[in-house]
Amino acid sequence: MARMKFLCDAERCIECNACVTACKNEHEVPWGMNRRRVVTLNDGLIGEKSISMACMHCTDAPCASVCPVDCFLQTDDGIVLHSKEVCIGCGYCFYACPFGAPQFPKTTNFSSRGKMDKCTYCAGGPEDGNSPEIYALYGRNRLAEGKLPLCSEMCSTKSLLAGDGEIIARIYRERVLRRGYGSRAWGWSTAYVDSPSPQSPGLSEWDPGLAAESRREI
Amino acid sequence: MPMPAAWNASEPIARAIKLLASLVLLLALIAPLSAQTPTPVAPATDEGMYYNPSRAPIHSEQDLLNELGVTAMPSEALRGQVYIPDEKLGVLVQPQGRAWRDFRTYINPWIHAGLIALALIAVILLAILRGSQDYQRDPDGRRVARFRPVDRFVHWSMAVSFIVLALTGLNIVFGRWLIQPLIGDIAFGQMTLWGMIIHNSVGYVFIVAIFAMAVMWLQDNLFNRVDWYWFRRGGGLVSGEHIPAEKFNAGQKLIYWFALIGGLALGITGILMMLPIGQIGVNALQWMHGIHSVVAALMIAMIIGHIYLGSFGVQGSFEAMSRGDVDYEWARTHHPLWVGRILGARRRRDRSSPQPGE
Repeated sequence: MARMKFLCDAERCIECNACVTACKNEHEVPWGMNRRRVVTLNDGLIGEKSISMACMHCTDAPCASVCPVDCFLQTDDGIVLHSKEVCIGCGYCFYACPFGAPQFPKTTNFSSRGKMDKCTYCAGGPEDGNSPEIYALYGRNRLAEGKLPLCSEMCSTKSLLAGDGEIIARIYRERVLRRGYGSRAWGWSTAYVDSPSPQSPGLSEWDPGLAAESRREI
Repeated sequence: MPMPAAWNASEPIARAIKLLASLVLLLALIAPLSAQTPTPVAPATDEGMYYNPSRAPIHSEQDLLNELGVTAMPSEALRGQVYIPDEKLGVLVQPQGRAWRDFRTYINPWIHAGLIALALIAVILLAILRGSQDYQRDPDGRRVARFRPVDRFVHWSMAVSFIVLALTGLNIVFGRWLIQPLIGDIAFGQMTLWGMIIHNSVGYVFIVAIFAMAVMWLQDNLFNRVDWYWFRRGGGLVSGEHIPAEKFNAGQKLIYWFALIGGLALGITGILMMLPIGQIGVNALQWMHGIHSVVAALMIAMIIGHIYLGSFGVQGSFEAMSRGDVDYEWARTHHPLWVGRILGARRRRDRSSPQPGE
């Protein structure tokens, strides 16, 4: 089985923010929340780089590790999902996430932050199906329709890659070997500790025990 | 004739030597260049559906892998520009989250479990070695007023709110491992959600009670030379003797100050953690959580000892907080200086005010 990963090629990202817009539109993400955003480093300076960042679906996901109610699970293809029925909105996942992926609907003082929301890799919720209830909670389940995440599918420069880690690493490697290393595959090694290089071993060599904390059936 | 012939014969050789020399020079010049020209060789591993033979690699694959291997995570947070109003999303990566995760998941439960276990062991050892400390009841049944109703109200507000906060807080620390497997995910989620709401609400009661306690009992909890003597004798814990004390002995004064400082720390960090995430930043929140957790663990351990000494450990002391007064002999045993001061004040009052019969 494939191990789904994201890869943002910062050499190619032109900061068009289409992935951000597509994601918000596809899942009807409420105002004030962004499952994906484009961060520009050294804006306006030499060496400016833009990186499209969302939940990276880490192998050993920190959010799942710190959650007080253990509401996360990782699917067999490595996608990190969470149950909004169980989530209490404490914000711990945001404390732990290296990429700032978890989002909270409420920003008022002294009350709950509301149920956490984050990128689902266009895979819906932890429960199977594509019902309106699941859509309202988690967004569209494109994976169930045989499609990849919309952000990367419509990326005009093919900077943002999504899919089987082995395949997208191969595409990236081909680019890099040709043009030189240049920038980094952002967050790749941080997220996928099992494969700190783009030469992903794929699930055949991926030890599920590495993510034991998050690989729990809900 | 022979000369020109010789000339004619040697000229091509010289020309050839010249040419050869220039050729060698040229070769020496272009040799490094020709060596750099890419030689398209496809690594065996790259032959697949995505490999384009016309775009053969010109960089060493090993260099790429080496470079990626060392750029795991930046040591400092990286902040950039975002075109959305939520500025906190400008943080691209914050490596501090990894340290906080280790604290929250692996270190903090051990701090709590260790301190609570230590407190329980101390209490059990004390119970085994010293037993429940009895005292000689006053034959006349005289009693001394010790805590006003307002004292008791503040104390019990603080006590009940603390226990509620401790239990709901410990649920956040341990519930996932201890309770969730027993009652299921949905039930535990609801329970923890309500626990968090109660925790965040009852916290205000605790803060107000801490302030009230701080003001009401301050003058009785200032350290003086009597306490120094009490500390040097270890409070009589080992010898079993009763060290003279004022209204509060030095141990009780320590509890007052620890409760005050710890309570303020818990209150301040707790309130800051209830702000929206963008308000003080995620790294500040991680520190707030760390301080809140460690101080809470220390306070829970301390309060376990306090509960023991105020109930089973020292007989007669619970009445002080339940009824508000204590047995005269109990007061003379444990707080002789306080009793002496009360009696002295009463005697002075009696002397100064003329008796109605005179």
